[in-house]
Formats: sequence, C-alpha cells, structure tokens
Amino acid sequence: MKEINLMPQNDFLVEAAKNGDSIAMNQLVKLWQKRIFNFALKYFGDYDMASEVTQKTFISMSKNLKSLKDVKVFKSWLYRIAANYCHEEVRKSQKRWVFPFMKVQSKEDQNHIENTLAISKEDNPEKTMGHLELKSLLQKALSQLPEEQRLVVIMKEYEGLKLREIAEVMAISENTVKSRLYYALGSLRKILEEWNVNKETVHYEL
Amino acid sequence: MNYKPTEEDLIAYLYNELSNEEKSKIEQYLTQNPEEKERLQALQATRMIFNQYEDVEPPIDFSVTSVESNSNSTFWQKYIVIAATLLILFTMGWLSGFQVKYNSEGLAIGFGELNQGLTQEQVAEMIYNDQLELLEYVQANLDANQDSLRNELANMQASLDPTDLVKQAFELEKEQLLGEMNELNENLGSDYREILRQIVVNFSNNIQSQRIEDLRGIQAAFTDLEEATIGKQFEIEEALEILSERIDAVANNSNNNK
Repeated sequence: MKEINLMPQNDFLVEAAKNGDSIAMNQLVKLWQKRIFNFALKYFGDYDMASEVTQKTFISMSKNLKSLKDVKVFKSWLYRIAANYCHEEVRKSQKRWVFPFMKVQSKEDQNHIENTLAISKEDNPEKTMGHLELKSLLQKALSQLPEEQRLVVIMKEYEGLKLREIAEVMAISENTVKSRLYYALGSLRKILEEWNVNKETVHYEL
Repeated sequence: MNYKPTEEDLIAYLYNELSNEEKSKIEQYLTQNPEEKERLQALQATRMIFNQYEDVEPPIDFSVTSVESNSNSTFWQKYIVIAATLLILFTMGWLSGFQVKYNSEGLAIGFGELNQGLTQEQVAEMIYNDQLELLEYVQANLDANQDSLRNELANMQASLDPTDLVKQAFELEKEQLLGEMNELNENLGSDYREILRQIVVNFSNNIQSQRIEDLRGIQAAFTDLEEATIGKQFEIEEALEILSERIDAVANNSNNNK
C-alpha cells in the first residue's frame, strides 16, 4: 500500500486554487496528474483512454473547484470525478463495441496467456516473467473484475484511499466497500491461481 | 469463544483500519482458526503480487495552463462559432425583415411589415361580400344575354322576306370578293411585277430561239428532200433512157423479123 504524504501541501494548494490562484491550480494538477493517470490506466489498461479521462478530470476540476465546500474532501471529490469519467467512457465504448477485457471468454483469454508465456519462455529462458509480462497479466486480471469491484481495488491497493474515502467516492456504505474488496481479492486470488502466478513464480522469475 | 468476525471485519483487519481493540480480537480469533488465517494470508499474498504493478509516468503534462488553454480555446472556438452563426442568422433575418409575432390572436410569421392577421369575422365577411359580388355579376350577364337574344329575334322577324335576304347575301359576297381581288392586286408590289415581267421576257426569249431552231430544222429537212427529189429525177431519166433503148431494140427486132 502506497501512502501518499502530500496532504499539507495539497490542502494549501486546494485552498489557493479555489480562490482563483491559477498557479496553485497548475501545481495541483502537477501533484495529482500521475495518480489520476495511473488510476485510469489501471482501470482501462489503455494509455489513450487513461489520458483522455485524466484530461477531462482536470478540466472538470479547474472548472468546479470553486464549488467544493470542504477542502478536506478534495481527494474523494477528485477521484469521484475521475471514476465518473471512467464509467462514462466505458458506457460510451460499450455502445460502440465490447471491450477486449470486458468480454466473458475466460478460455480464450487463458489460451492467450498460456501462449504468451510459452513464447516468452522460448525467447528468454533466463527471464521468463519480466516486468512487462507480469504487468500485462495483472492488468488482465484486474480487467476481469466487474467494474465496481475493479474501482474499489484500484482505489484501495494503488491509490491508498481509506475505506471511508472509497465509500465517499462511490457514494456507498463502508460495509459495501469492504464486501466488494473481499470478493474482488478472492476473485483475483483465484485468477492468479488459474494462471499459476504466485509468490514463488513471481519472485523466482523476477 | 463464540466470536466470529465478518468478511467486512477481516477486510478492515487486512487493511489495518481497525481499532487496536478490534484488531487484537481478530488476531486472537485467527490464532484459534488457522484455516481462516491461511485464507487471509492468501489474500495478503495476492495483494503483494498486485503490488508489483507499478505506476508509470503520464505521457503528457496535464497541468492547468495547457489543459486550460486547450480546453478554453476549443470552448471559445465553439462559442465563437455559435455566436457567429447566430449573428449571421439575425443579420439575415433583419435584412430580410423577417418577423415572428405570437400573441393571443395567434402566430404570425412574415417578411417586412408584419400585419396582424384578419379575425374570423373579417374573413367571413370578405367571403360573403365576394359571393354577393359574383352573384350580381352573373345576374347582370344573364340579363344582357337575354336582351341581345330578344333583339336578334326581333330583327329576324322583321326581315323575313327570303328574296331580299338572298339578294342581300349575294351583294355582300360580291363586295367581299371584289375587295379581296383589289387587295390582291395591290399586294402585288412593283418588285413582284418586275419578277413576273422578267419571267415573261425570259419565256418569250426562249420561245423565239426555239422557233428559230425549229425553222432551221425544217429548212434542213426541205434541203434534204430537194436533194433526194433531184436524185430520183436523175434515176428516173436514166431508167427512161434504158427503157427507150430497149423499146427501140424490140422495135428493130420485130422489124427485122418481118
């Protein structure tokens, strides 16, 4: 879990940006762009869509920050904007086509993963599972979670939000957050087991 | 011990978001229930693996200046385009005097001076007046026709004598025909006459030359005939001489025989 220790600076910047300080607004974006981009990237597994959502999020932020009443809830507020844009993008793209990772076709996916593993083994026996392979595997695993579980896992595991903050972002009860996390972690554990990805293989092969 | 933590409690424990009291309670429970502990450890291991998925640097800088200038320019462009379109529409509308009016009397759209439409009574009255006018006109026409018919009938009755009628008609026809002839004569302009004259002259010239040719032909024929006649004359004279000689010879013979 990554603890992000930027709260004092953050609150100060939020307050200043709220009062129309464009430099503070700029600094605020700089402070948060990596987080929001990575949040969206883990959600979509796609750079372009992550960029789009990040951009939209900060445009919305700079336009609506004035209406934010409590500086303390800035973080949840910002993630809520990002999560809403993520959801909107999925909805829009579902109208166009089904996402590769939204498809329910575990067998094919499994074959695909096995194939990639086999090929990479032949290519480089010394380093069977490099960072890139592991990353794409983990992304694939995340993508198999239902949307609301995926959001919760990303916010908890990678963004380090408190359970209470996630509840705020998603406008659900804290207990619902916990139970979604419980099921999400269970599903991820199963997926990794099926793909034979565990502590030993990861550590051994890294 | 009957205490059994819920899934939610276990998750809170896993993420270290419990009070110390709750925490120790769960730890106690887990030592007593190793299979639960194992399950929780498996989840923790899963988390550790997912923790390997590291952040990346964003491909572009999203800071407000660029975002704002981008978004603002596109927003402003959008607004400017909309404003320009509206301006053009209004200008065109103003230039063409397009007007729309809506009130209790109804909707009125028009170019230039906008006259409020007629009321229902006014329209009804207009239609009534129009019909009345039409009726009067038809009546007047009918009367006039009747009068003229009556007059003609009277005239015909007055001039019922057939001989007079025929004479009259004949005179009329004659005059008409004479008139037409005169007209035709006048219509034959000087040009036309000249052409006619030319045609006549040409024609007569042709006739003249034709006649001379014919005369020559006849003369030649006569000459031939004359020559032929003279030839025949010589032949006949020769024949006569031969005949007379033969007759003389016959006469001599007969004289000798006697």
